[in-house]
Formats: sequence, C-alpha cells, structure tokens
Amino acid sequence: MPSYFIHVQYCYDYLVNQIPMGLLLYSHIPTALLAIGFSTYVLIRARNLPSVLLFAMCLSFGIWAAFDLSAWFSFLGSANTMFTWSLLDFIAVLMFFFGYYFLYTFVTGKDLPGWQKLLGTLAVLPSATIALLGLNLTNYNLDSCEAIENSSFTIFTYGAEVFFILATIGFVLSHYIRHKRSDERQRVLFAGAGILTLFIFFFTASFLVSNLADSNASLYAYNYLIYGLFGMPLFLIYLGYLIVRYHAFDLRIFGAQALVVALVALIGSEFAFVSTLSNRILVAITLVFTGMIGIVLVRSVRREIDQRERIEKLAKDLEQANKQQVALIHFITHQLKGFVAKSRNIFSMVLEGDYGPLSDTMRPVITEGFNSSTKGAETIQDILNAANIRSGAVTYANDPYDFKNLIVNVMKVLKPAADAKSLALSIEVPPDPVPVVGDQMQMENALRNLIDNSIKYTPKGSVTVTLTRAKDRVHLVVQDTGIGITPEDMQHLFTEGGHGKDSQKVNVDSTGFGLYIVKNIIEAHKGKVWAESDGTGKGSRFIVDIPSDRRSVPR
Amino acid sequence: MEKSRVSGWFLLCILLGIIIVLGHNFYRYYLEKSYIVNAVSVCDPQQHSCFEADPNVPNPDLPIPVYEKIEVTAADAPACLDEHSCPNFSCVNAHGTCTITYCSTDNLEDGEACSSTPH
Repeated sequence: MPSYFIHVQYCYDYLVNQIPMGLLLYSHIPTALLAIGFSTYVLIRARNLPSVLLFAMCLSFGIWAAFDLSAWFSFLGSANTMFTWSLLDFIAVLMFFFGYYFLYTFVTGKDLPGWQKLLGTLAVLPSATIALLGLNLTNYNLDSCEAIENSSFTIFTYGAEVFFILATIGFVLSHYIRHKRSDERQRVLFAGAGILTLFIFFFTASFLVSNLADSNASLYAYNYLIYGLFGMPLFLIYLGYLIVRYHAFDLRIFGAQALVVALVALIGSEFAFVSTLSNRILVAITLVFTGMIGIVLVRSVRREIDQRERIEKLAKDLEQANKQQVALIHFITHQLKGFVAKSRNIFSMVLEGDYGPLSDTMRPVITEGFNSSTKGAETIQDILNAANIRSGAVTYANDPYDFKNLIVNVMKVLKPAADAKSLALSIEVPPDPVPVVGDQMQMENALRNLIDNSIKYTPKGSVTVTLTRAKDRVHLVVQDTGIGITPEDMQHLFTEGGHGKDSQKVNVDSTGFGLYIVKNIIEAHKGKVWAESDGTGKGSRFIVDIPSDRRSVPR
Repeated sequence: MEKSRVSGWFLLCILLGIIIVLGHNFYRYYLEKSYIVNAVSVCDPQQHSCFEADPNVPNPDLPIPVYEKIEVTAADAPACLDEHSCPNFSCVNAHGTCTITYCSTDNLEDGEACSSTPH
C-alpha cells in the first residue's frame, strides 16, 4: 500500500495483522467491477425495466463493496470509516429490494404492483431512517480501528433482508407451480436460484460477522464476510446462463464473450496479489495478450453465430415454403383426382353399355382410356397418401381383425393384374385365423402396395405370399422372381419418391411412393418391413413383421 | 418491457432518498465530525492513576502498556490520538463531549489493573 494512502499507521498495522490485504482487495474489487460491468452492458443493450433494476441492484452491490472496503481501510481515518460504515446496512437492504424487484419484472415481464412497491419501501425505510439519523453507529474505537454498531438497530436491517429472502422464495415457488412449460419453469428456477444465492451468501455473511464479532470465532466470521461477496459472481453465472440459454434480455451474448470477460477479470485481479515490479509486468502482459486473443475469439464466435442464425432463418423459411408446397400439392391432387375419377366413371359407363352398344373398333380405345384413368387415380391416391403421412395427418384405427382374411382378399384383388402378366400368384396361410389389432383399411392399402410392387417388378415367373404366426408376432413374406434389387437401390427403397436405378424401365408408372407408404403404415402398427435380394435378376423378398393381437396369444 | 412512468418516478424517488442520506452522512462524518471517538492514550503514572494490563491476565491487543481512556467528539480529537500518543491531551479546548478517564477500582474492566497510586 503506498504510504500517501496511510493516514493512520497504527490502523494500517492493525488491519494487516487481522486479514490479508490481497484477499480483501480480491474479494471486493473484481466482484464489484464484474457486477457493474456486466449490468452496464445489459442496460446498454436491453434498455428495459429489468435491465435498469439489474443495474440498480449491481450498482448497489458495487457501492456496498466499495464502502465496505473503505470501512476496512481504517488507516484512511475515522471519518472515512464512519461515513462508509454508516451506509452499509441501508445500501444492503436497497440491494435486496432491487434484487426482488428485478426478479419480479424479469420473470413476469410486468412492473411490480403498487402494493408490493409500498411493502418494499416500508422494509427499506427503517434502515434509511436509522442511517440518516446516525443511530446504527454509537462511536468510533481508535484502539480497534472500527466503528461500534448499535445492535438494537441492526436488527431492522436483518429483518428487512429476511423479509426479501422469504418474498423471493414465495415468488419463485408460486411462479414455478403456475408455469406449465418446462422452459418457463427453468427460467424462473434459474433466475430465482441466482438471486437467492446472492441474498443468502450476503445475509449469512453479514449476520454471522455481526453476531460473532465479539466472540472467539471473530476471525472466522470476518473471513466469511469476505467469501460472502462471492455470491455475486455466482448470481452472474446464473444470469449468464439465462442469457446464453434463453436469450434473456434479447441479448446475443454467448459463452466465449462471458469466458473472455471472466478471464480478463480473473487475471486483472491478480494485481491485488503481486507485489514485485517484474510480476506486475508479467501479469500486465498476460492481461493484454488474453484481451487480444479474447477479442479475436469473440469476433470469430460472433461470425459463427451470425451464420448459424442465418441458416436457422433459412431453414424456417424453407419449412414454411415446404408447407405451402405440400398444401398446393394437396389441392392440385385433390382436384386432379376428381377429374380423373369422373373420366374413369364415364369410360366405365360407356364400357358397360350405358350409352348404347359399343363398336368393336371403339372398345379397345375406351378400355385403354378406362385402364389409364384407373392408373391415374391410383397414382394420385398414392401421392395424396404419402403427403398425408408426411404431414402427420393420417390417423389409425385400433380395431381387432383377421390378418389372414385381409391378405386373402388383397390377393383376390391383385390376381387379375398377375394374370395379365401370366405370373403365378400363390399364397400360403396358416389354418387358423391370425388376429391382429390396428387399422384394417390402412393395412390393406399397405399390403396391396407391397404385393402390387412385386407383381409390377416381376416380368415373368411367380409371386408367392407366405403368412406365418410365431408366438406374438405375425410374419408375411412376399417372394418374387423379379428384377431383384441392387445394394445401391436397397438404400433408398422405402424412401419418399425413391426409385430404383432402372425401375422405371420395368414400371413406367412408378411414383416411388408405394413402398414409402408401406413402411409408414407398417411402422404405425408397431411393425417393421424390409427387403432382401441376392442381386439383379435374382428376385426379391419383402418381409413384414407385426405384433399379433396380445389377447389371442396363448399363455 | 419498457420503463413505465410510474416505475420511473418511483426509482427517481429512491435515488433522491439515497442522495439525501449520503449527503447528510457525508456532512455529519466528514465535515461536522460530530461522532464520538474512544481511544486510549499515553498516561503518566507519576501524575495520574493510569490503566495498565493486569499482569495475571495479559492482553496482547493493548496498543500501549500504560494508558488513560479518552472519549471525545471527533472534531476535537487531535491527530496524535490516532496513534495513542497524546501525552498532554486535555479537554479544555473541546467544544463537544470530552472526558478523560483515569483508573479507579470502579471503572476497571477485565484484564486491566491500576498503576500504583501517584505521589
């Protein structure tokens, strides 16, 4: 300590014998600067009521820390110690009030109600009056270089602090219970925990010191007073987390920025410990280098954040565009389906002779028109189904039905298509019914697509369907002698619009939605579907595995 | 959330209160120096009955071995009192509270004793 600071040598010697000067400076100065710096930054960026109150609370803390340090520095003279000491209780209570006020506005987004302002003011008023009248200090003891407190009045300060602690606990609990959303709850919890950490550290420190100062444990009590100040950095850590995690105050502050500030504060505070010139130079160099590297780091992280935010915005725009596109496709396909269905009905009626006998030359043309519009309607239905599945618009019934019966019916429907290609379509089923639970109509759609897929991609030979039941599972295997599947095609076989490399040479009408629909319907029934093939020209196996109706499973 | 006018006035009132308390206390303690200071100062056992440490209960915190107790308004306290070395301190020129207490059996505290009676 430079000698021109020391007005009373006796008190300086007394102080350094009592407590390490480095610890005293380290506990007060960095914490106060950190609190004021942090809250000033928030105030400049946010400019709203919570940021003003955060600043007021941190400024109160900073003033308290400065006054407390000044009160410790009794070597500056008794007037200095008396002046600063006399205000400590009042400023501490103010800090508690601003802390509660900040928490309320931060969590609710509203100003503190009038009655709470009044209660808060009433809690602060005794400490203010006592400080104004000078009742909290009776005299100054030049032997111990300290002010003598009047314990009859300090009780008002502790009472007010306990009042604000209880009010904070009550507020946090009530809002935690009231909020249903987990992110809102976490926000309340973190902000409340931060304020309470600060309050409890601060209160217990000053309460212990005040009550143990005259006892044998006074040394421990004084040391705890110093550590009590570290409640503020803990509060700032909570607040920093809120800002990073929940963008509190709408700030885009990020971890790197907070880290650099903390590092600079930490290294800067080492000036409190180092005494030799060479050490001071080393600390200064480290500080400058850390600051420079910190600036580079913060800039690069800021760039990355900007890019990430741009990408996130683009992704949102894209999602919106996709939604609009899906809606448009839905609209168009619905309209098209109506037109195609109408044409199909007209062809059907003409073929059935509703408009009179059909000439032999006209019949093949009308038949072709009928087949083409039937395929068109099916294609549109596939597109609609896929779009519904993707948008999550499909709901599934949960009714019991016989799977064996269903597959037999599907095979009957598809037999004409197989016959048209001269394919042998066969089925093997167990003798007993195969009960399952689910949406029969959707499952029929899936099985029809699956077997139809095998028929379409089998130019010659056979398609064999085998149904088996094992314990609580139902297995369906569709084996064909078709074009097979290459390992490349296997990767996107069940994806939306996933065509095989040469699939459209075999099936020109392929939409690529069939197996996608199958997969989604089977998975919605808690089952799975997969394909196996020994390669091109060696046929394919499609296996469906779904749970059977548990009620029918023999124990 | 923007600052409302009500909360602005409220905070302004608090700020005003703080300034009043700060200003008043600055005046009282720095300029007026109207508080009382307690100190021990050097005492001449040849002239007065001085306090001294009880030889049976040694008190290492005592700033000086033989002393008198002074209670005086800070404005009247000379600088030498800070270092407990005002051999000629007197209350004659004091404007406020000023008392010098010498040792007697009535005002002895724990760890204290009176020096031998002056001649």
